[in-house]
Amino acid sequence: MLAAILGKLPASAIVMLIVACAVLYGGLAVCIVLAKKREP
Amino acid sequence: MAEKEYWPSRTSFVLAAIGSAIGLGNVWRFPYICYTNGGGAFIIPYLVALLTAGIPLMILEMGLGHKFSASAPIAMKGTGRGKEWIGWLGCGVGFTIVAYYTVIMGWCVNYFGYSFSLAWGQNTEAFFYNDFLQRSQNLKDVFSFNGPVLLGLLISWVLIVLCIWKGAKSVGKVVYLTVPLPWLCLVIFVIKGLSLPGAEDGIAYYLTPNFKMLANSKVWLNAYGQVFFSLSVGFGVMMAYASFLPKRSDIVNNALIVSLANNGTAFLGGFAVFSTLGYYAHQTGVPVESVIDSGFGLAFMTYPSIINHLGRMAPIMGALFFIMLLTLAIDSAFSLVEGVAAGFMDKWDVKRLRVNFGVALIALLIGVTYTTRAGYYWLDIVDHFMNNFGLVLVCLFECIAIGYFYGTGKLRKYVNSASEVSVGIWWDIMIMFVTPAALIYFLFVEVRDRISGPYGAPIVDRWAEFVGGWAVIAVLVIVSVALMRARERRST
Repeated sequence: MLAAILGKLPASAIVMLIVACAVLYGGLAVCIVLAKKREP
Repeated sequence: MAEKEYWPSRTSFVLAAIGSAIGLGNVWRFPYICYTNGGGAFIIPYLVALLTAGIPLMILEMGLGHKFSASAPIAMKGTGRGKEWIGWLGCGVGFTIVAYYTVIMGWCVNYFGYSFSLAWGQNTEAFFYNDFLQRSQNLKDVFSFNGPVLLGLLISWVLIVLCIWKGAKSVGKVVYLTVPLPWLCLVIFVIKGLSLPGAEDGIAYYLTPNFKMLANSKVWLNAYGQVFFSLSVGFGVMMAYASFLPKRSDIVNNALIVSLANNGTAFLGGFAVFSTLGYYAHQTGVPVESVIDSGFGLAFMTYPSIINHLGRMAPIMGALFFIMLLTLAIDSAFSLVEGVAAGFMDKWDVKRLRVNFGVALIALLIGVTYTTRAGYYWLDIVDHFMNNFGLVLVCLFECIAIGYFYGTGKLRKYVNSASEVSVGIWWDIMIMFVTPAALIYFLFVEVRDRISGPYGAPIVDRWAEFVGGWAVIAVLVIVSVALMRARERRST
């Protein structure tokens, strides 16, 4: 399913997808880890 | 004086702030804006707008609320003489929005019921405008009320009042349900959508970048607009919520979590919308570009049409879709009430229950006018003016007040002293120059458009635009100044 969808996308779209995921979800994960570290 | 309220935990605060930020726009506005502004290429201006305006404004509002331990009006008053009205204006814009936002929630309540029998039939547009809203052909039909919409509005207000019954204490518990539930629904929609035939075509439309569009200033304007509208900044909500944080708590990291979660949800929403649009196009043979829509069109016309094609799953998916919209909207709605209520409680030491009921009752009475046959048009005008003028003006005044009068350095020093992650001088530059420049440009384009013709023409004429738009803004400014000048009553 995912392979079929990714296969249909041009390389530039996949790059944008990776950038968006890295910034939005990667950034969010880092912030949550930082917050958890501070929590007692 | 009433005992100071605090969040039960940091998670409660973060969830409540995320719930406030994530609203209907994340699902029904972002995907459309993304598609019409360069597809995947829109990600670049969108992320730039988030980092240069959205996150700095979020830090500013949370920082002020936390520093002064007060709602927007009192926090703005703390930044200097004569600035309290900016906080009241933000509350006023939020209050005006919640009066019609609950009407849209009422529509969702009705459509949730309709889902079980797919009552909208095959012609979803005719059902929405003629059968459900019974929309008139002009704006003068403001005395014939629509029973089902009125009932939906009442149900929405009962739910909201129950959620904010005990302020931060009850909101802190409710958000454990109202924030993850729409996420869960969204994930189900994404998985279901991606598994449908034709989904890949829809996703290709969503993500294929058109980099040439980046040279168009309108694309950048739309990116900043999407970030401003979707983060719940400018309504006094984030200041009120941050004022319920204990002194030893974080600001910057919380602001980052809320902003990234909000924009991440919008990005995910695009997959749910475009995969199902791709399926619909595949089923009906209609090209994807001709079924793409946003706002009411997407939620109450296009999506019900798609649901019709889901076979035995249709009633369940329909109910799930409108539950998702309802739960997306409810925490934004009660946060707007909370923003206003906190202002009154801080300034006049009024009891929470009294303020909550007062705010809810007045907003409900205003909301009733939107349940009339001409209500749809008035709702659309007020929505446009609140977002494009009210919200933009409040954010601009906040930036000017902090950037040029109070001092960004002073607030940054405080914010950094309380935070896990420090902000540098870049934040000062964003608040003093970049964000105001984007907001002024936004305002300039909007004023230019309004001079060239009334919003919603040809049905909306200059008179209706004045009553529903300019006059509302003027009344909000006058009331804000009057509230600032009213004598404070705070026992010590």
